[in-house]
Amino acid sequence: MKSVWYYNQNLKPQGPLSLVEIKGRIQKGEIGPFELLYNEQEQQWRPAREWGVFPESLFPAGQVVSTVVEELSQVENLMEWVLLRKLEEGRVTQEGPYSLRQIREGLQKKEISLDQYIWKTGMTGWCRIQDRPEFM
Amino acid sequence: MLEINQNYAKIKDVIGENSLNDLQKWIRIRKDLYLQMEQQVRHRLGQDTPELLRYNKVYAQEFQKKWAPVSKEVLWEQMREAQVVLVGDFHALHQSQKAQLRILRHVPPERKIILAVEFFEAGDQDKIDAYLSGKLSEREFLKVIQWQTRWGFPWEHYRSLLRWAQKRKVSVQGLNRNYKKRNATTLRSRDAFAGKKIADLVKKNPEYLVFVIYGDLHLAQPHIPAEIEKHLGSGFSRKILRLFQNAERIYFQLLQKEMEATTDLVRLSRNTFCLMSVPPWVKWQNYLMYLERTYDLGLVGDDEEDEDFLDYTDHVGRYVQIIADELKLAAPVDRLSVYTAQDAAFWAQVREHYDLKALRWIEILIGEGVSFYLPEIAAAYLARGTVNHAASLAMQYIHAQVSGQKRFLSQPPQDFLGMIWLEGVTYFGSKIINHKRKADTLADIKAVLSSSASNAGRESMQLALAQKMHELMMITRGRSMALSVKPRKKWSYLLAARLLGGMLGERLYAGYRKKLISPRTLQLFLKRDVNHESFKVAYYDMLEVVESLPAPFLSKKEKL
Repeated sequence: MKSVWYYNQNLKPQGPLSLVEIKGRIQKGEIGPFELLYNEQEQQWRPAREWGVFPESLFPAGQVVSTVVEELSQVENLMEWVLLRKLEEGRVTQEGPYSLRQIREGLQKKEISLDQYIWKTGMTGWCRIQDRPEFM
Repeated sequence: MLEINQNYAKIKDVIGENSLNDLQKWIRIRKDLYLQMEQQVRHRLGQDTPELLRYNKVYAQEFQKKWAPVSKEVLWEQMREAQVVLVGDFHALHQSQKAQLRILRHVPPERKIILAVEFFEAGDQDKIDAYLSGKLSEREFLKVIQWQTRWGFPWEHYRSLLRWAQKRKVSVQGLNRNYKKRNATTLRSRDAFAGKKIADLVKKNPEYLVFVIYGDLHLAQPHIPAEIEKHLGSGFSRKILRLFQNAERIYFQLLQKEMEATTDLVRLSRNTFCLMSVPPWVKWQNYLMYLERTYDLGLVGDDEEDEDFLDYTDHVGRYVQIIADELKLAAPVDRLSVYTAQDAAFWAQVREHYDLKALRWIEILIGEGVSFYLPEIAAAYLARGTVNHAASLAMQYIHAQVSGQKRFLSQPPQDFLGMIWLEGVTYFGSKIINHKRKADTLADIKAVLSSSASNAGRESMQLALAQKMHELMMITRGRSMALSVKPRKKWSYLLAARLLGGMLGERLYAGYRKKLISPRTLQLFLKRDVNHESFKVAYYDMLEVVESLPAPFLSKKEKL
């Protein structure tokens, strides 16, 4: 497969990028697992995770995920999540740290939205809340 | 129409009577539209009594003060210090209640709130409590409080406020008092009643924020605020925050400074603000449509189905004239007929003229609440009686007249480019009427996608991106390539066209307002027939021009 890739920003194709470059952007959290990516040879837009060349662990959304049930209840109250909030004129601010429980409550009360970005130690970049398994 | 003339004089005073440059012409057209709308509303309501005029005058004085645009953060900060927040309501305007909800959602979760509202009567408190606690269904509740006869404005406008209160377990208190006659005397008695009730709520619940929703007129300092202070002392005024909505005078001042598109909030004093969410004519047009619906219902009885027999031709026709005048295009309205879903004449014509495939497409459009124009039978279908729908339909009609379009676009993928262009042009035209309108952006589509399991959203995004990739290749490499996506649902084509068209229309409008595109070029663009076989070539030529224009716009989610 010829590795010429495009991603999109507000519906504008951005590229061309090599496989290494696109992986770098994924690792930084600039491209999420469900973002549509275009491969020039295939001439198709598909969600990044469906291309089969980007392992789950490359995406911040798939990193440092607790899978053991006992661990889940322990991490629920850990104040480890930093939240990114948009201000006016494109400025952003970091909030937190929050616990998983607090973020979930914020989502329920609609004070936090699923398309906001979060981060915790161990992740290589920011990721959208909706892409993290804890919130799916 | 004494008051209209007074308003006219006030606005003339604001904009001055200098020789009319382009900006002044732009303002004049909008000012005329606003006055026309307001005049028609007054015509239906009858002449204001001198008492009511005085009541209105007191309210108007609020906006004589100096003001300054401020950010939302300033409002949130001021709200933290307030014990009572009074937010204005324009009952017939849904955007008004939507703004109230957005503000409520910004109140920090740890802050205790009581929601006190004009649209419920205090005497119905037990019924309100029963409804909120789930003991009464919505239908039963509306029946027992006689919503239709006592309040009468669309319940749908207020429903989400109640849903929010239920979810957050917030107490909702009725503030209104039932009167047989509604006049200026009762206005003042109602202010006194509401003021005392609010003061009682503050006394009983000092740790709560009392969030009041009441008609904008009542928020003037000598009205409800003065009544509250009678019971809590004049020092309490510092604890009252007032948030008016859509003051006409401020709007025209903003227009004069060309700040209307970028200003959503202004501050009149330390704890008085005014939210600017829609242009004044949109506010009054909504009221007019509401009044006409109510008037017709009054004529035919209580059968709600008869609402659909209202004739919206005049409403849409008015917009046709304004947009056509603005763009210096000829689009006579005598060929315009506007129909709604239940109109038998519409269905009869549609069945007679279209084959099964086209009929199916028309059914889908109707089912999805889309307004559209059918050039073959010169029939315009209005899905919803709102300003945005009416203005979009008006532009579709103009476009069909000017371009000579003969065939309705119902056959994607071959009609896909025409659909995008038509969506863009339609959106552009509707912005001339309501410049505060916001297109769906990618963020909005993604928000919908995250809350829905529908494949249509993903398909339409893939399609929209494939089209953008195609455009990129055409423009940068002069290379044509086939669209690699074949959506399973035809509906995905329209969703993609709306997404791309909305962005195109925003860009076109921004370029038009900044005079980056000449009226002559724009006229040539609008004359392109989307049915013609050469349209595919013309589309990319026009796109190259449009793509060179700036496109600054916010997502719907970023609105206050």
